[in-house]
Amino acid sequence: MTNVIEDPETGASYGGEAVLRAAKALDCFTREAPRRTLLDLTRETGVPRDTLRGILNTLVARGMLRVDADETYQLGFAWLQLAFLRRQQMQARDVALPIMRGLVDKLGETVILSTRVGDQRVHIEYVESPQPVRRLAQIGNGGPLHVGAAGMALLASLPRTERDDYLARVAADASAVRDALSHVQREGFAMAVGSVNPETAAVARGFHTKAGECFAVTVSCPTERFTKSLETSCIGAVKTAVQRLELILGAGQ
Amino acid sequence: MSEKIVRIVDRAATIMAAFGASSVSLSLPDLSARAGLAKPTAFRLATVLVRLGWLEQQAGTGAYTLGNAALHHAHTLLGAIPMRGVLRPVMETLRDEINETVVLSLRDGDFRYNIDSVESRHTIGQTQQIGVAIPLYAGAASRVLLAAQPNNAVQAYLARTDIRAYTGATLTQEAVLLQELRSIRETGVAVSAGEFTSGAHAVAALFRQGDETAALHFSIPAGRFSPELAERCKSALLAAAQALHA
Repeated sequence: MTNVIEDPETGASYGGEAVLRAAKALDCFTREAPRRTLLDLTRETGVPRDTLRGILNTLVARGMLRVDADETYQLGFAWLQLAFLRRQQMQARDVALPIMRGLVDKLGETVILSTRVGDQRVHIEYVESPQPVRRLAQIGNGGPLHVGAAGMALLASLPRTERDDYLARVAADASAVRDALSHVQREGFAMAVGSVNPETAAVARGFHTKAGECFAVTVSCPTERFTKSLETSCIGAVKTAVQRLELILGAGQ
Repeated sequence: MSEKIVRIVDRAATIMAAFGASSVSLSLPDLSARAGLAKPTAFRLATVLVRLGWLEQQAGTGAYTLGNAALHHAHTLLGAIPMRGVLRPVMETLRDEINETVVLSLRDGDFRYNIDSVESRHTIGQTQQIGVAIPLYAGAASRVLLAAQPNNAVQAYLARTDIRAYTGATLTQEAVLLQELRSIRETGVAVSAGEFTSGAHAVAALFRQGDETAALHFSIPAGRFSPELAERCKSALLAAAQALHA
């Protein structure tokens, strides 16, 4: 696909490349590094400085970046507005929330809904356990797809070509991940007990919507509460919950 | 400093801004009209945005909705705001106590931004203006943040700012504003009624943590607002601020 976009009406041509570069610059901001200078961004994106400055100016003008007097950039507040709208507008979230609340009522543990964004699994909604010590969740929290119950459940649900592409690009030990994924597919759920975080246990299952989006529902709790009995209940309850979601949202319609 | 704008990036931002409370999904003709692009051009741009996760395209209708990339950037952004982490449990406690929506806002330059909110459990409520630039003179939370500034900064702000009404209720007279700021500094709280968005009342207070300041306000639809509720909100906010600053 060419990145030059030509407008047949005006004859002007636009570099779609600039949008890709803008996105690349935005991805340079992380929780660990929320403030970046023009120099940082130039180095990390590989985009020539003057070109990048124009792109960054545009993002600042539209509230997607902020800049201070010494050309240090931060993410802009427009993303908060867009995220807020996105959350309000997600249809899958509306359907999933009551079902997630039902799961929390039944199991007493935190339930998280996640989806894939690029190469990450991202938490997009959650209902927390009422217990004082519980798994905490954060909207937008991201992690690699091949780590943890939610990510593995998503990875197992992806179309084969997308999964293979991801593993080829990202997973250091692709064959170990593949073995684990076969297990997830056979069992119908993914589980991680103290493997990602020693304090956390999680059970997850993925599903598709009619629109082709992939989600995972995860129950997660402190490892010391994850008894054999809870494990069995979680597996059963998550499977049932996802079946209901598939019925309402799913490709089987 | 060069203020050159890269047009295609600007148009991508315009497409994103086209989605709002009433525009959940937009067709290609909608997008091309909003972005000022011919349909094939808009289609190619939208395709890039779908690839980036900025937009999603619905399989059946081909219509576009906002994508999930915004969730990720918002999460990164919020992670760099310590006040948000500090105040989130305070907001939840306040919401549990009063059962009205609590909003956290910060000052950035000459504007206030609502950063985060904890919703009331009522079925009727005001949609919050999250991430939108709000002038520092309009509304209780704005004035709380303005009042926290030293006097010379306040005077300089008023001198360079064109104070205009957003609704019939916006306070625009400088003398009245200055009186209001004095009152906020004395009492620690501010109240306003529908100054930025009609229909919602606000009761606000300042919260500090080291060098950082933020405003928390209750956002209450006019139908549920009363002087008694305002007093309860003020007490709750002041108590929470005191507990934090202790």
